Amino acid sequence: MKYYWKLFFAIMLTCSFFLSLGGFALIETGFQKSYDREAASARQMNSLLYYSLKKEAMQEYTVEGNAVLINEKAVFSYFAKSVSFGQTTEGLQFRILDLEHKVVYSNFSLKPEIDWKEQVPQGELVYFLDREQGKKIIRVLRPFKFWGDEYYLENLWDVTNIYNKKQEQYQIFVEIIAAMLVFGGSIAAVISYLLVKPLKRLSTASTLIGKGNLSLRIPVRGTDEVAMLSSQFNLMTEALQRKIELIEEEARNKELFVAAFSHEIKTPLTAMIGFSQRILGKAAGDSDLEISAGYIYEEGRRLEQLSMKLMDLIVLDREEIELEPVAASFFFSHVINLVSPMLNHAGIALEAEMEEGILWIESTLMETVCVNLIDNARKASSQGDKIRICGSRRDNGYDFSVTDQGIGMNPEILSQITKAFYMADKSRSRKEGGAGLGLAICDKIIRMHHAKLEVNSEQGCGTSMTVHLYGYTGEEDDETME
Amino acid sequence: MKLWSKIKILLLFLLLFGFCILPFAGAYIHTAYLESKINRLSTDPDTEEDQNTFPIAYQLKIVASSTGDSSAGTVQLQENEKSLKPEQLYAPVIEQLKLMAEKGAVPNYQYGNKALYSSNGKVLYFVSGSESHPLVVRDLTMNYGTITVSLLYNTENDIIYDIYMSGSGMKELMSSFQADNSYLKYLDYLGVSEKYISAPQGEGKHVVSYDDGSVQLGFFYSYSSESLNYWVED
Repeated sequence: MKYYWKLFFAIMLTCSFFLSLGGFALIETGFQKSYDREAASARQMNSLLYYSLKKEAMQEYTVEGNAVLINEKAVFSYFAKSVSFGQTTEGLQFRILDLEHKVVYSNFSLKPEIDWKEQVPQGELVYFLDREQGKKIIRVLRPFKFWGDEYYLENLWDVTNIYNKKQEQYQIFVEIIAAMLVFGGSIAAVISYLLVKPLKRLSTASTLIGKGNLSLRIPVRGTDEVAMLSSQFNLMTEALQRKIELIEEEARNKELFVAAFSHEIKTPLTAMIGFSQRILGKAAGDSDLEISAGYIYEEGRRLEQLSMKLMDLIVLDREEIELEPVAASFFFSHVINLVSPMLNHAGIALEAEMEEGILWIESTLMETVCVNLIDNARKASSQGDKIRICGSRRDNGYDFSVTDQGIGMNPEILSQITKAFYMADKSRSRKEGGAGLGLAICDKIIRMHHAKLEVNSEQGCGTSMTVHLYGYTGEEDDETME
Repeated sequence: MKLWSKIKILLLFLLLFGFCILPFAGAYIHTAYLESKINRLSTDPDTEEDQNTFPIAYQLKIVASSTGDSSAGTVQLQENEKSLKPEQLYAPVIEQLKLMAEKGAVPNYQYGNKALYSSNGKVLYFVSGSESHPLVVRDLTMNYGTITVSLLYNTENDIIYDIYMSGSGMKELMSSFQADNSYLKYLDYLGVSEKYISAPQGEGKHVVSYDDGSVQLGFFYSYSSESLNYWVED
């Protein structure tokens, strides 16, 4: 997940969490206080009813000889009709229950949802929240004695209004949280963008520097941590640039040395090869001299080839090439003509299967690649083996491969073969006059063509080296050629 | 963007939504908790202590606060003493009127049984936190033809807290009545100590303050050639 999203969600989640928590705490605390106040009023109402009943009704109707009401229900009913709270009787809802919670008297017809039938001992009062026809009510029960029997005085206290008020507050809260999500989300998005922007700049710069643009510097703005990081990044890039320049300078010096050395040994080598040929010519009958002169000649030739290849490597580094369209059939027939004598001499058959196509190459250099690859295949093969050259067109290029049935290579060797002076089998390579530079040169030429070398090999089964050339435009190029 | 990143962002959006609906879930749980909770409280044991045994100033305070703001609850009981005749029921009040007249708080008159009685019934004044001891009062109007006496009295100790006398017969009664200092007689009748009384204040000097350190009251009185009125306010 991107850092932008992490920042955005960190801001939004923190804001929404604390807003929700704060809103909840505020609304519910207020509600709880209102509820407690209403519960206290409900209890007080119960007390007023109870003491009114006790003070008046119980005294008035228990006077012997003056009783006008002869049963409890009539007393309770008369009491209910005569009693009022403050200026009004509206909202005063109570009932008298016996110990089995059967209604003895009730001044309301409501039916609360909770069928609560537990016993309440004398000296205790019970209250709880209940519902009735969509209303919220607090029910308060108190046991009392009347004419020797025990009853419960229960009153109902409507608290729907505080629930409605709470609902209204939550509706406002919904609007606030919606506004927070919209405006807060926009602000969080902008903040996240502004915070991530310098990091993105750093990331882009590091990518460009990784691609070689070491002169790039990041503008340092402000004094915050990102600015410090940018500054340190610039210092690091400067140090890296200096180091690379130093390394490049050293590499150039080495190249110059190798070029000078190769050039300087060329003249004495030519002399050595020439004189060894003369000695060989006059050494008929002297086998020791013939062997020694032959050895000098062979080694001289090898050194000469080595120096030439080194020169090639150095020259290739400095050269800019120009690619030209060349017909595949023409190019490969020329290559086959070049290598056929060498392969015939080694007793190795060459099989070629080329598709028609256009190669965007520098002919001479690509010819070197082909000859080197075929020569390597020859070196790995034995008499009677077969080397196969195949070429095929792709949408955007042309592939050709050189496959042998030789000794093959293991994966460790495969990763090293394009390094200069690397020889998989030194004794065999030297015997064949190799210097370990052929594939290094091939690799360099292929890279100059922006092409790719793919090597597949299995020890004991042979090797297949494929060059993927790009820039092939198929029939359009064919037309261009015509 | 990888699928896992998309899933994570989706989960974070869900978490955000969850945070937003958190209060509603909390409110639902809170309501469910309140609905499931059965609260039990012990009630004050019933005692025989009577509010009427409290000092008169405290009784007057209850009357004043009950007729004024809502600091005390009031329960009204309509007339239900059908078994007693008014002469029997209101005889103690007439005795109190006579006592007030003797003390010089109200004009002398033949306060007797032959009057037209009317009453709205009893009113119980409850003091918050002490509901077991309500003060039981009754408002009563006695019409003697030429004068009408309206009063508020305690049904248990018969003390008259408020009184208003008016009518055509008052002119004759007031002519021989010393109304200027009658409020002191009225306070004497109530049994209010003079040491807590301030000098009359206000325009016409018809307000007397009472302050004994715990109870503060205002005694109001007004008189004219046709009326006399005493009452208390908080």
